[in-house]
Amino acid sequence: MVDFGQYCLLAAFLLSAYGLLAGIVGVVKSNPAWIRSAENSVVAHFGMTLAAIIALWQLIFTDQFQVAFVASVSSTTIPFFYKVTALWGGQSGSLLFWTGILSALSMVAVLQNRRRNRTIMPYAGLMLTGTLAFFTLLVKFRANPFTLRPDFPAEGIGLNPLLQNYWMAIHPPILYIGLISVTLPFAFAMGALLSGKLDTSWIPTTRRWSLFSFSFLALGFTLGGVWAYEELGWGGYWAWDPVENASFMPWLALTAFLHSVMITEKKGMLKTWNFLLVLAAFELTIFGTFITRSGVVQSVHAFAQSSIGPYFVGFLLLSSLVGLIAIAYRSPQLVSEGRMHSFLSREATFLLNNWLFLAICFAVFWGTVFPIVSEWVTGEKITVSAPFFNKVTWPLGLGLLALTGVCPLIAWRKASARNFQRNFLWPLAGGFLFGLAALALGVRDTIPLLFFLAAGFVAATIVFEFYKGARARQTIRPTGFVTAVADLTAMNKRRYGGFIIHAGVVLAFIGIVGSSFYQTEEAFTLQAGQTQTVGRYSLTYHRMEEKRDAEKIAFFAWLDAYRDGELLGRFYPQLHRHFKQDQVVSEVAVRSSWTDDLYIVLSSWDEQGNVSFRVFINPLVNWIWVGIAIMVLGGFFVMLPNRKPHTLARARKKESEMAEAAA
Amino acid sequence: MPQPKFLIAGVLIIGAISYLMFSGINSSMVYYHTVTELLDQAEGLKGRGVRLSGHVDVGSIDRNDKENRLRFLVVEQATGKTVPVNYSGIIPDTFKDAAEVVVEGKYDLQKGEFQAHVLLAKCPSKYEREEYEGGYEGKVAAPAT
Repeated sequence: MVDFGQYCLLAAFLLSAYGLLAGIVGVVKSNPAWIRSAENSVVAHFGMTLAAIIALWQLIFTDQFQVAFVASVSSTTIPFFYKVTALWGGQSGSLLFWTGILSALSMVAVLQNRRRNRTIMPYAGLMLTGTLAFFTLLVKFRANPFTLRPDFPAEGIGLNPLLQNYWMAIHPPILYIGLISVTLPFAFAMGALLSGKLDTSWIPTTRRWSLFSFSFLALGFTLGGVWAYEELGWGGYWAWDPVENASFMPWLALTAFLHSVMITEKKGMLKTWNFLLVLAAFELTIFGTFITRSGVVQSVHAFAQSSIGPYFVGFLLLSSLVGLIAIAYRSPQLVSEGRMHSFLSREATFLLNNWLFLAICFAVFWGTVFPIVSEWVTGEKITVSAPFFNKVTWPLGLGLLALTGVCPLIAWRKASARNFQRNFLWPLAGGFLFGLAALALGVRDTIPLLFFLAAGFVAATIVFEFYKGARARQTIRPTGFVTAVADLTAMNKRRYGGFIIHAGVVLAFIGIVGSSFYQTEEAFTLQAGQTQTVGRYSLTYHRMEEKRDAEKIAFFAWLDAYRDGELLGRFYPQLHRHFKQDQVVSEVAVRSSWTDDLYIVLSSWDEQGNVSFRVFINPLVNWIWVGIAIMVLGGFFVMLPNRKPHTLARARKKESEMAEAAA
Repeated sequence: MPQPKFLIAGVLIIGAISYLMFSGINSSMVYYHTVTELLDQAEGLKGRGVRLSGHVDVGSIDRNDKENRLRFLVVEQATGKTVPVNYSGIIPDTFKDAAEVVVEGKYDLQKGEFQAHVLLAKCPSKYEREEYEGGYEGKVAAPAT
């Protein structure tokens, strides 16, 4: 199996290198046969990588601990499920997995577009095979998961207990898909630049893949947040850790692109800007992968120090250079077709929105690399911590949230007083109402109040838009209001799907503000039968219990929790002692509701029966998860093709016929 | 060339963002130091945020959850020098004897004690126990710095 895996990797590497060369030859000689051959190599590459992945899984499942990677992430005692996820539990395996995802996505892109985008495809293909060649090279020659150890240990170390969590099992693949799929928008944008086909034909494909990355990235870092929240036991979900930032930055750049590209399609402006944003998103992905995998920044969850750093720097520089030269080369053809007229116009507010996204992105980038830069410049290693990120992102985030309401409604060119009155009067009233409600509920701090005001305003604009659209639709086709809303949304997925995404954004913002500003934390020690009150909750401790399996001992504390005197149920915060890794992991007990989460951590206990707990009350955390879920679903919805009105009518007719037949 | 009013607006916005970042950095700057550096420069570091890294001295953990307090010694493995740390807050799961830790806070010269408000313990594995090329030790080794 080991040899088989090695040969697959070698074949994959040769295929990607061949694909790159064949693509270059094909482009230079404009020979379709070579280009076709290059495209086929992508498909073959996927076959080889998939075979290598299966081989590695096979080695993990059969406990082949003479393979160093298998010994470091698996053991005979971990459940089968975690043997599956062990594939991405360490550096080299996850890099192979990563390459496999890139290969699969590249194959899909090649097969989908070889006819549709004939002119730009050869060049886009070059970018794809180039990136594939880079990652396959790393997996084969620098971080090879099939490397053997000199001995054959009877037992492996096993997967890090912190990673033995349901969320941790699905979070990395999703995040990897999000990160690596940024290669596709990059490839298509570069394809347009290099082929010189600079009309808007590159946009739909690029936009669709950007939405794909946007959705997966958002889902990925949110699942990471859920994992941190449930597993790490510190009561939070986001710590501005470099690894978190690594996935957040490309998402910000892509989101900026998804907005600016609308201005290009409608007004022919910001052309160069779009290419720069896509390039930035791609380079930030590579940069993020680099900081996560090379050990250059201190992070709680970076991979082991490793020798692959310089390769990433090289690839980063090379790809940026190619991108910038291509943009510079085509810039004479990227002339803006329109111009700004007023600050109060859709063009200007979209541009401002882009600036805010980039400002946050830049601040996060700066905060992440600050230790490296300061050491370079001053010789002293200085870091900035969470307060820096918070201080910068609160005002910028507030601006963005407010623009979420303004941008879709403000008039093009120059907004008139009438435009304002028609579009913004009711939403503003809605915002004030929401603000007043927050005030009545006891919110007194300025930042949260401003956020709730803005959130109410945006929510009202969205409701108002759906209402107006549905009423207009009803004048064309008299249907029920709900049907009108559904038709409207199905017929104009981009606009109304966008509003769905925005609705998710509003909910997430409310949750983030609520949980950041109004968290309660209390640490206390109880003996059997004693009760402690925290806010609206009170907790009665009963006893400790333990349960042992092959992997660990689990210590349970039995607690009854009450809210406003009403019994919520029994909760079991736990501490797990994993034998093999000699590590203690706490398993928190969380009671979620719409208003707040009761979050109980078992800290320790002693022989005298004193048991110590740490309890957090985290308001509105669920709103974040739900908000981002809506956002992601909205993203996928926008990716679907639009249904034309007549097909819609036909579908409806068919449905009613079927209903009749059934009756 | 854009009209002057847009240029001015652009400059204003960039100025505001730069100000935000600059003031943010100034107020949350934290200096990385080793134990030796901290002890040598203790006078100059008065009132400054410091991020100290090292390992938990084996056997030094004095944990009292009842009073929500944790004391331990951070040891610099190269020199064997130690600094006592006083911390109250969430103790990460990975915190234990010989773990690699990072504490953030201020050094109290009079007490000769580091008052920490952040305690990070590196996952002893950083996902993987150590880079596998290094070989299998069969025990939990503190990761090399």
